[in-house]
This record gives sequence, structure tokens and C-alpha cells, in this order.
Amino acid sequence: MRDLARQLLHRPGPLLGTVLLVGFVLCALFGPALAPFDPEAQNLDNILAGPSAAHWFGTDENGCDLFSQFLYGCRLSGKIAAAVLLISFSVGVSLGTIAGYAGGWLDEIIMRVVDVLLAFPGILLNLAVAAMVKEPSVSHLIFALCLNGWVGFARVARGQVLTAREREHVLAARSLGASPLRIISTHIIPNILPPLVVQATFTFAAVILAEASLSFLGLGPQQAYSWGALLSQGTTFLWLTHHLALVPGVAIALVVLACNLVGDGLQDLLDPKRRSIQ
Amino acid sequence: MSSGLGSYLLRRGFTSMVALVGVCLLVFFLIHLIPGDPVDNMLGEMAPAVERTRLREALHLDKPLSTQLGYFVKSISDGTLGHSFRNADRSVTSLIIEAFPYTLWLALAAMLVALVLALPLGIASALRPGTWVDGLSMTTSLLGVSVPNMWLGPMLLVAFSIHLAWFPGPAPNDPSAPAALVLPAITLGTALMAMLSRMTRASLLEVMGEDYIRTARAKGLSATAVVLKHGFRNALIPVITVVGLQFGALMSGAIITEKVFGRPGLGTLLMRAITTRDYPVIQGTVLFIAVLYVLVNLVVDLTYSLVDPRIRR
Repeated sequence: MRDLARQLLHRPGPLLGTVLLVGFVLCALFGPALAPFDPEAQNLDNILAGPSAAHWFGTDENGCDLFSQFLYGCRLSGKIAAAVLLISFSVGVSLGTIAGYAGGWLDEIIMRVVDVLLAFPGILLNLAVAAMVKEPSVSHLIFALCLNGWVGFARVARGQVLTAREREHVLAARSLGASPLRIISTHIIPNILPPLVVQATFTFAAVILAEASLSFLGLGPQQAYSWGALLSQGTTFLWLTHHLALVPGVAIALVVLACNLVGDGLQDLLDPKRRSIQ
Repeated sequence: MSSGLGSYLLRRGFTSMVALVGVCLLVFFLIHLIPGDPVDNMLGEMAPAVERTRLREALHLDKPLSTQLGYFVKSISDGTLGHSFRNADRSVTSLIIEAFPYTLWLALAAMLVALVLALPLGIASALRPGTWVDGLSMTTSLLGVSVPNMWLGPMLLVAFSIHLAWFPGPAPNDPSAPAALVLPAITLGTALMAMLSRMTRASLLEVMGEDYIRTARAKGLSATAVVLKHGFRNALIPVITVVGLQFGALMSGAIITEKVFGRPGLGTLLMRAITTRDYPVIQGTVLFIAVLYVLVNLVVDLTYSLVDPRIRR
């Protein structure tokens, strides 16, 4: 794994992605502390102002500082994406591993549930779930995003386990009488981790995008600064000024780009066939 | 061989049936999915008692679950998908039928934009892997997958509608006019374009390594003839399949595109139903899109299996 990380950082694309992601994480962790203004502090003498020394990203229709709102949005996106990723990873990998290792009816049931969840394209299911609550909270949003967030992990894990369980060291462990739990935790999971990490980077991008989309559509947490909501607000003032829509959009695009760069880089390193094509 | 195809069709049909039943059940349970009392969730805890009772009765939440399911099944089997809360004379199906053509045209236009841009990009990349042509077109596609359509749309509006005034702004008088479709189609099609150009590249590179390509080359055919006649045609099969499978993504992407451009369609119908808390319309629209998606996928898969027998594993 460490070797992989070093190889990854030797390539310009993944390196740029990593730098961007580290920046995002730092903003998410320390953003509110770094914010120069209270994001709610209005200044009606200075509304819809463009970028300046005092207000790096300009101000919104109430004269609030957009840079501070951006930093708070970073925290919210980061928090939601981290929670969804953690839950989806645990649930998905567990179910996928069980399906792949146990096979039979258990596999059949889990994969049919996966089929059903995959029948809802894009954010449709998340949207439908969030729509069932009048004022969705952060936890409602996390719930809605986890509902199908685990599916990708389950599919990758299952596919990997199907091949891993036939490997010689696993067969050897089984013939020595190791319990399934022990085989899975010590002999299978460590070997199938890399493709799951690739899946995690793409899922992270998807969750950031889905959360922003839901907030953009007005289904995000109320009274919170979210990039999607800022963007939606910015588009209503598009005819007066462009910076309000520009900043949150670029932020979302950069995080997604960063994940794609890192994910692509990892995938290339892990898949020799792809690498030879490059 | 034909029995192989027959059993493949049967198996594929069966899994689709299971998925369809599952989709219906999940849409039915949407109301109950979020922890807590559904009526509390939907109206907020401050809602007056009269309103709560009315919603509870309208959604049959005062009846046992089995009765609720019965009502739901009936609304599917009689083809109405229930009636709108806001306009009781309108069945949900009639609202969907009214909105669907707008979304369908948008999705088809987006597919066209994606294909027209992606194929040249992908082919150019695959012909010169590792060169600046490849780098440029793959960077374009990377940017394409990363730029969210809720941002691309407004930026296109700023450039081509506000500053250059080439295309109409949001909420056009005639949403079906070709000029009004251009920016929304680019907005919705960009992500698909990005994905397709990468697919085309990978697929063509793979095909170009096959033996029959070497044979064609050995026959003395020109490089262009080899690529276009032998390589491209075979590389296109998986690409076209992806176009079909991405149809659903376009449907859900249309929700945002329609909002940005103020266009009518399924997305606008769904979002209006969400803001007016019109639950039968929400459920009906979500069900419609998901069922359509499953059926389109089934058709694409079956066509693919007829074109390429290797897929019937």
C-alpha cells in the first residue's frame, strides 16, 4: 500500500488530485476557524460586491462574505461525505463479502436488493427519500445518501471475494480449519482492499456531487451553508453578477476532479492491462 | 446456440421482473423509510391536527399496511398511479404523459451532443495514444466528468445567453424549439460525452490489439481503412451499449437541467410535487423513471446479446 502511494504521487495528475483533496480536508477541518467573517453577518451597504481584499470571493445579496460561507460549506460537504463514505464502505464491504463468500441464497438475496437499488438512476432515490421529510436535517441527508451508497462497495467486494476465495493461501487456511470469519478478516479483506480504495475515491466524488445536487434542488439541510444551496442562490442572481454562482460551482468541480484524478491514477497502477494501454 | 440464447433471455427477463417488483415495493415503502412517524416527517411537528388527519387519511396511513399496499397495487394495475393531491381530477399518469415528451427530447438531444463530440475525441486519442492529441482529449473528458451540470448550465447561460445572446434564456416560450434545446442538451450531455470518449478510446485500443486487425494490416489496408472499417465498427458495440445504459442517468440528470433552464418535463413535475407535498405524484414519477430505466436496460442488454454472442455467459 505504501509503495502504491509513492508511485501514485510520482504522477502529475494524481499528485494534483491529492493536493486538492488535502486542501479540501484542511478547509473542512479548520474552515470555520479560518473564516474571516461570520457567514451570517450582513452588510447592506456592500451587497453583491465582486471579489476584493476584504471579501476574497465577494459578497452575496445581503452583503454576507462569500468566502466565509464557502468555508462553512466545505465543512458541511466534508462532514456528510465522510459519514456517508464510512457507513457505505462498512455496510457494502460486509454485505458484498458475505454474498461472495457464502454464495447460495444469501448471495441471491443481497444481489437482488442491489439490482433494485441500481434501478433508481443517479440521485433519484436519494431525492425521493429526502422529499419524504419537510425539512431534511443533515442526518436525513446522510441516511438518504447511504441508502444506495453501499451498493458499489458490495459489488466490488463480492467480485473480488469470488476470485480471492479460490486462491491457494485461502484454500490452505480453510483446509487447516480456520473459521470463515478468520479467513475473511485475515486472508481475504487485506487482499481485496486496493480496488475498494479506488471505489472509495469515486464514491466520495459521487457523494459530494449528490449532496450538492440535493441542496441545489432545495432538499439539503436548512439553515446551513452548503455549496449546492449557495450555487442555487447564485444562479438566481445570474443576471446581476456571476461570482455567486462561480465560486461554489468551481469548488464542487475541483473536489470531484481531485477524486477522479486520484481514482484514475490508482486504477491505472492496480490494473496492469490498463497500464499497458496507457 | 439458440437454446443458449433462449435460456439467457429467460434468465435476464426473470431478473428484470424481480427488479421491477422490488422497485414497486421500494417506492411503496418510501413513505415509511425514514425513521419516525411519516406524517410528522412530511408536515413538520408544528402542523395543525386537522392537516395531519387529512394527510393521514389521504395516504391511507390510518389503515393497516396490507390495505395500504392494496391501494398502491390497485393504482398501478388500473394504470392511473393514483390521483394528484393538488388537482384531484388528474391522474398521476396523465401528468407524466404530459411532461414526459419534453424530458425525452432533452435526453435524446443530450445523447446526440455526447455522441457527436465523444466519438471524434475517443478515436483521435486511440489513434495517437500518449501524444498531445490524446492528452488534450482525455483532459477534456476528465473535465467533462468533473464539472457538475448544475454549474455548467448557469455558466453556459452567462456566456451564450446573457453576454452573446445566441440562445434564449431560462423558461423559454417554446421549450421544444431547437434553439431552446441547445444549451440544456450540452449541459446534460457533457458528462455522458466525457464517459463515452473514454470508453471509445479504451474500446478502440483493445480492438486494435486483436488478431483480425493485424490481418487487415497485413493485407496492406491503409491505417484509416483499418481503423474505420474493422476497428471502429467493433469498438462501437460497447460504446452504444453504454449510451443505452446511461439513458437512466440522463433522466435523473434532467431534473437539475430542467430546473436550471426552467424547462417543463418529468424533473419539473417531480420538483413541483415535492414543493407542494403532492406525494402520489412524487411516488408515481419516481416509479415511472425507475421502471423505464429497468426496461430500457433490459432492451439494451438483449440487443447487445443478439449482436455479440460472447455476452451470453
